[in-house]
Amino acid sequence: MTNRQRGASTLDVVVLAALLALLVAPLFMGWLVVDVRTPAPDRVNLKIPVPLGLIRLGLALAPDREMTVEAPAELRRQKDVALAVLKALDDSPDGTTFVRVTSPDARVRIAKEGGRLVVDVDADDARVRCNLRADALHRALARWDWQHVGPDLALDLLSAVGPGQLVSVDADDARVRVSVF
Amino acid sequence: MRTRSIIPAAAAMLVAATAFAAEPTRWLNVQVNAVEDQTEVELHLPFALVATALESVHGHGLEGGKVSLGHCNVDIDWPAILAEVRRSPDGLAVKVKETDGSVVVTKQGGIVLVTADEVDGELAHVEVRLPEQLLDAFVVDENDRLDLKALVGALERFGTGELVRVTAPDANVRIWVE
Repeated sequence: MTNRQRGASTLDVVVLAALLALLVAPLFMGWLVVDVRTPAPDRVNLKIPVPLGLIRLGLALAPDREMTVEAPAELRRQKDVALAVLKALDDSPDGTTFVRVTSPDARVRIAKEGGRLVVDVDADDARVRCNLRADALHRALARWDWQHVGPDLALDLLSAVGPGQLVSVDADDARVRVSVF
Repeated sequence: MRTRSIIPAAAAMLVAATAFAAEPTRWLNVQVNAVEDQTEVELHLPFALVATALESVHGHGLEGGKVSLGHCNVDIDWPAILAEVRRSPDGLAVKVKETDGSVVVTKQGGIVLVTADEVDGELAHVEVRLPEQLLDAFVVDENDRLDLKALVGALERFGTGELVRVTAPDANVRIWVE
C-alpha cells in the first residue's frame, strides 16, 4: 500500500486548505460590529460582527451600476473645501475643541482627541458621538473621484475610521454602537 | 582649549534652536451669544484652517480668498480712508454722527479703535480694536475686492487679544486672537 492510498489525496488537501483559508481569513480582516440594544418590553440585544473583507468581496461581485449613484453637484463643488479643511484639522494640535454650541435643547462639540475628530451631539432625547481619524478620512476622500457614491466609497470610509468605535447613539429607546476592529 | 571651543558652539546652537523653534499655533476665537435663543456658539480655529477655508470657498462674493465689496452698494474709497487713518496722529481721528448712530475712529499707541453706537433700532454697540499694522493688509483691488486672506494673514501676525466686541439686546459677539 502506498502513502497516497493510505492518506488524503492532493485534491483533498487542496480543498481542505482552501476551506481552512476561507474560515481563517476573516480573522485577519477588519471587522465591523453593530451592537443594538433596546430596553424592555421589546428587549433586543443584537450584535452583528461583519468582516469588512467579505463585504468588499460581496460588493465586488454585485452589479456596480445597481449600487452606485451620481454624487450631487453641490457635494462635488465642495471637494476642495472639504479636503483642505480636513487637512487643516488633521494638522491641528490634539486636544483642541474647534466648535462648541450650547442651546437649551442641545449641545454640540467638535474636537480633536487622540488624533481623531470627535463630533459629540448631546440633545434632550439622544446623545450621538462620532469618531473619525482625520488623516485616514482625508486620504480616503482624496482617493474618491467625487463623481459617484457607491460601495467602494462606503468601504474606504469605513476602513479609514478604524479601529475603534465609530458611532455611538444613546437614546431613551435604543443604544447603538458601530465599531471597527 | 577644547572646553573653550565647545562653549561658543553650544551657545550658537542654543541661539539657533531658539530662532528656529516652531512658532506656537495662533488661534482665532469667535463667541456668539444669542440672547433670545439662549444659544451660545464658540469657535476656536487655528489660523491655518481659517486661511485654507477662505482660499477654498467660492461663491457668495468670495473667490480665491478675496471678497467683493460691491455687494455693499456703498461707494467708499477704502485706500484713501485707510491712508488717512495711518497718517493721522494719535488721538481723535474721525467722528461721524448720523441720526441713527455714531462712529468714532481713534488711534492710540499703534492701535486703531473703532466705536459705533446705534441710537435707533437695535441699539447695538460695536468696538473694533485693530493693530495699526493691520491697516496695510486692507488691500482693495481695482475690482473692489478686499483681500480677506491677506487680512487673516496679518491678523495671525499682528492681532493679539480682543479685536471685535458687539453688544446688542438680541446678541453679543466677541472675536479675539490668542
